[in-house]
Amino acid sequence: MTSVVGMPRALAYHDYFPFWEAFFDGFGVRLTASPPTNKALVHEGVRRAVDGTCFPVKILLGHVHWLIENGYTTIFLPRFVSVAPKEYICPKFMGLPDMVQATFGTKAKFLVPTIDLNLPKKCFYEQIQTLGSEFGCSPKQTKLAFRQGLEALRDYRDALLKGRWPANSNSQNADNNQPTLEVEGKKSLKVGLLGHSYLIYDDFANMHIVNKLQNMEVEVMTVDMLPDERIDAQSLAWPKRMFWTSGRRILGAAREYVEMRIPGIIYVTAFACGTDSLTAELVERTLRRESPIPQLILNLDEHTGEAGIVTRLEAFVDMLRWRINR
Amino acid sequence: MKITFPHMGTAYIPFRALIQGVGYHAVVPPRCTQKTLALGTRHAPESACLPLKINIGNYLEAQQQGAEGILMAGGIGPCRFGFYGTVQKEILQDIGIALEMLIIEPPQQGWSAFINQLSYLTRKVTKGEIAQTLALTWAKFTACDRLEKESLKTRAYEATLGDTSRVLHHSLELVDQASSLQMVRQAVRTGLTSFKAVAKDLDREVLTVGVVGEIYTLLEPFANFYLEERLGELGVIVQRQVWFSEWILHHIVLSAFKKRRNGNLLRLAKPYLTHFVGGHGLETVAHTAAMAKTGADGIIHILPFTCMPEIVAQSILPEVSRDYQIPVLTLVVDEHSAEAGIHTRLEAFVDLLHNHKRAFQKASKGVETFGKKEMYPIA
Repeated sequence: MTSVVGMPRALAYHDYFPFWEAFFDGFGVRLTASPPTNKALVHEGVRRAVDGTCFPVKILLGHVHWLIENGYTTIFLPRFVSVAPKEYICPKFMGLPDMVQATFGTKAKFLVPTIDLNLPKKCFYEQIQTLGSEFGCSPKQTKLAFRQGLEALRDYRDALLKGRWPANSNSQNADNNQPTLEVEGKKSLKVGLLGHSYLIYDDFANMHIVNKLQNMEVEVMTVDMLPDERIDAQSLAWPKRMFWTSGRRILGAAREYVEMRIPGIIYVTAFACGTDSLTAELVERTLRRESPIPQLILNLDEHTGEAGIVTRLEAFVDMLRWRINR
Repeated sequence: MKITFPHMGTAYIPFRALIQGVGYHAVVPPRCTQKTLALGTRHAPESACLPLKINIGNYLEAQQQGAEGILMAGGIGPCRFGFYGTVQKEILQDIGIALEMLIIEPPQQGWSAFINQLSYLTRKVTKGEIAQTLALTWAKFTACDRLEKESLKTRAYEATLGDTSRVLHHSLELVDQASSLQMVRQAVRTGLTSFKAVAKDLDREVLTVGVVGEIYTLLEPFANFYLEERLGELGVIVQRQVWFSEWILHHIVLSAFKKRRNGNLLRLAKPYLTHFVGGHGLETVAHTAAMAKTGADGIIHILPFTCMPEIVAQSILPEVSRDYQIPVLTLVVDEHSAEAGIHTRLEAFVDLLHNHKRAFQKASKGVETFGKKEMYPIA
């Protein structure tokens, strides 16, 4: 069987790549990601998407295109239905492999395990075993690889929690231009970012917002830097338990930021994102009523101009500084 | 308390029966118009889907007519409809509208909470009255759907434009006024007889078009720019694939008891979409294949802009269209869509279907030597 498998560096990559990398490593398969998002790649994605598709899915199509163009014959594209009981990710994640296959046809072989923790755990393990047997792995070996994956995932999450940025904690394909954050906290101004990991960690998609903020001497917090217990506890304070995992984490983080008295909140969202259209609205309206914390909502897509983002970030940061010094 | 609810096609008829049956005064919002949508768009989040915006408009207009509470459904995802009520409540609070939101969460969220909600809402009436109300509501749901189905067949043949719609409105009004099961049955009988009596032009060359997509935009004529009426007038028998009564049966009654639903139909979607994606995404793909098999001339797929489940379906439909050699028109609607634009596209599509059909007939008679596939590549 193939010993190199490609994974698009988009959507679920940003949350789970270390897991899959270690898992595939467990039976001697190299999982390689496409390069960081760039303009040409987004262009290819936009060309292939139906209009009305959200920006992150367009980016994913671009990455899949890159993998196919660069000779990857096997592409790993798990179907993420649910990563926590009674929760979903997003309807598009559930149909993503089918959308991709309808777009690219049989140009590559797609490995599509279904991750659905709404079902009994047994079904999930079955999917993992099937994946292992694709590569001629014994159940025992697969189990070992799975454990290895979980360990890698735990390390990755710990690193995120400590304020490291993904590419630095990630052995493979490390980007040198990824910012590192000083958690020591000498900087006076802190800003909390809200948004899906695939926007926060994709520097091209978010127009290097983290770099830009750090250049303005702003310390940046993300949802992943908050402990899970706090997020879970805070997400229960909302009127209805949210059924989208990332949406629930964003809601929890928003309340946690308020409790931390963070000086400003920036919500990074993508045009046509269905889950954010309501999550951002809930955050915006509720926080505006309940706290004096200023919020900035940045809505990104392939038409976003960098100058517009810079102007808005600068104005926002100036305003935050002015409020603090007042 | 005076209770209102969002408009969704003819559903106001059974909803009115339901609310009045459990001892409240029902305020039916004025019919959806551009004003409704403008009101909703002003207050709703920009990138929310169209139904949420129209809902807000309905609430505000109903409040002017004295409504004090809103009956709304909840949900368990993954479609964002499950959060409509929660977000709408926040919006109304912010603009200072004192309307109480009564959100009914489905039993999958927990049976005890579900039963508590229902017993709170039905506290004014006895169990017997609840049973009667449910029976009447259900009868009205099926009656409305029955009459609408008949109108879709009749309209394509009507000799005088507008006859069918007149009969439909009249018989729906009778259903609305009916206060007993017998009266509902009588209204349906009267309606069906009147449809038969509509003067018809049976020589008309009619087409059969399946209409699939997102449920709200399918059911609410304002949201789809009176698509069914317009197509009927163009001589098209519309076969709408989603009906409110069937939706209730599948999604509320059967799914609460974890019963398998329409498995044979969904099997047709398997080669294209292997997992449910919320809303009617999977059904859209399955219905398109099923309609093609039964010999429909074309498919119209309608969805609100940014609808998540239907975007998945939209990405996949070109494949189904190619495999089954059936033309598909996708209509995406939002507050910027305009009637003239939609109607032009419908007319062009109907023209295309006529040509397609004639050419196919010729080809199959052997007049043309082209094979099907070479002649009509549907890219």
